[in-house]
Amino acid sequence: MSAIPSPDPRDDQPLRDGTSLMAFLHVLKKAHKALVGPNAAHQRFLLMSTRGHAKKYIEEIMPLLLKKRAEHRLMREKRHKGRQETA
Amino acid sequence: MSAEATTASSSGQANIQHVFVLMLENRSFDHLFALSGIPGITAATSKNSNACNGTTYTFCGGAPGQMPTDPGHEFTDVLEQLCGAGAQYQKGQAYPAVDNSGFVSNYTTTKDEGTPPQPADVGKIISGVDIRTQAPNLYQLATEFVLCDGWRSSLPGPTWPNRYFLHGASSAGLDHSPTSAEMGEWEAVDGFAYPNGSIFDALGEGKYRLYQDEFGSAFGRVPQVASIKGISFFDVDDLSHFEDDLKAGYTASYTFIEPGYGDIVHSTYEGGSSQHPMDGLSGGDQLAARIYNAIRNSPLWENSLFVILYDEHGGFYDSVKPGNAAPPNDGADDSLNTNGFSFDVYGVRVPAIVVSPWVARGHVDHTVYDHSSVLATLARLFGLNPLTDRDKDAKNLLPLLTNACRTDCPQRIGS
Repeated sequence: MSAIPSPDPRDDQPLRDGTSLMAFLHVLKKAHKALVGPNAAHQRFLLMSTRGHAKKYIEEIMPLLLKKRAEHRLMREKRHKGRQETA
Repeated sequence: MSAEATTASSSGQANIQHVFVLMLENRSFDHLFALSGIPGITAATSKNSNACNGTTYTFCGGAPGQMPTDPGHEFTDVLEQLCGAGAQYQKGQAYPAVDNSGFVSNYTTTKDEGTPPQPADVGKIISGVDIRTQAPNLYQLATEFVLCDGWRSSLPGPTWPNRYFLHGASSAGLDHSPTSAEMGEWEAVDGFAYPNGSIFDALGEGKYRLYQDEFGSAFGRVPQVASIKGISFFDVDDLSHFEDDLKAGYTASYTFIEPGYGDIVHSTYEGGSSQHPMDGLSGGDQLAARIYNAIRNSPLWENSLFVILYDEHGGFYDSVKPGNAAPPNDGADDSLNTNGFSFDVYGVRVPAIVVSPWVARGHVDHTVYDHSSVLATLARLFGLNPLTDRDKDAKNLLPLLTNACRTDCPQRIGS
């Protein structure tokens, strides 16, 4: 049986405004908004107040964003290929 | 198209079709290169010092690659670092006289980035690394190509407005790390907006590519560039695609690459490749080698210019006074201008390495550049108009290009 990891005490620290972390979280919110709409993205964002919440937020939405990024890349490649074939 | 684009140029300039920029984090020129042994650089010596609490801290070696605490680098931190403890900035007045005397005093007391250091660690802020051993790939690139010892960050402040200057020759008045309220307002207009648009707007779709290093901590895979209006998270490709993309009919004139920022959640940045002071040097050093090797071994090498930059000095000591800068004068309103800064002085000096087969081996360039020099270079190469008075005034990199395409550039670097 694998050991349960000890909670990181830093996870209880509150998120501070005007920090790079908050700014990065807003970048993710912007992307999340494109996937789920502004209201859902905002409501999910509001659930964060600690570093631990931020960790969960990134763990939750990053796979969705990366999947969408991969789809976006495929579409871009198809468009590029289409232009090359037309030229 | 601007008239300058049609001016006769060296054959080097005529051959450059692809510009690549990697922007790392938070290291000053003296911190990384003063003790490099590279001849001809303007660098700190043991004659440079800061006094703090009755102790004189002389510039010396032995800097760790990873700092015990994060030095301050907000506007008020840099004000103290450049102008001494107690310096005040008055809106509408000139930036106070600079004497580079307050780096140590600021490091001992700043709480902007967390807890201040232990007393025994204070002197680390005014020490230099041994880049030959601590970041050997960057050292090799600096000695095989061009090292710039006159590059400044674009304003005496933190990461976000400095990165905005790279992308738009302005930070739209932002002189601090943005707040949630400010970013909330940007969300209403799809992101941070420049009064005159960004370089990406100027180049147009298909003419630029964006990548971010995907190695390391998954928490760090947040591209800062995606905060800009018109740029989305989904526009940024994983760097794992870069090498193959370069070999498959690459058409982008400009490519911007961000490092992985590591553990942003705990503000340690560990496990990244940005060279943030809390993370260390090896990740970013390997990243620079990876990008070099990809470009060097692609069909694009003889048409490429690769620039390695640092967004700001991260609070580390530098011995050179930044000097005056041309304000953007882009009509940005005051809403983001919390400190009232006029953008009329540069930020602290940062390292910059210019890589191309068209630049001289081992050249040290003393030209005063800032991040908008990238935009000035793109404007000259690709016939764009300046975005603001800052890039209009900025020196570009094209004088570094010779008429000879070297055949002695290392085929690969790093392990």
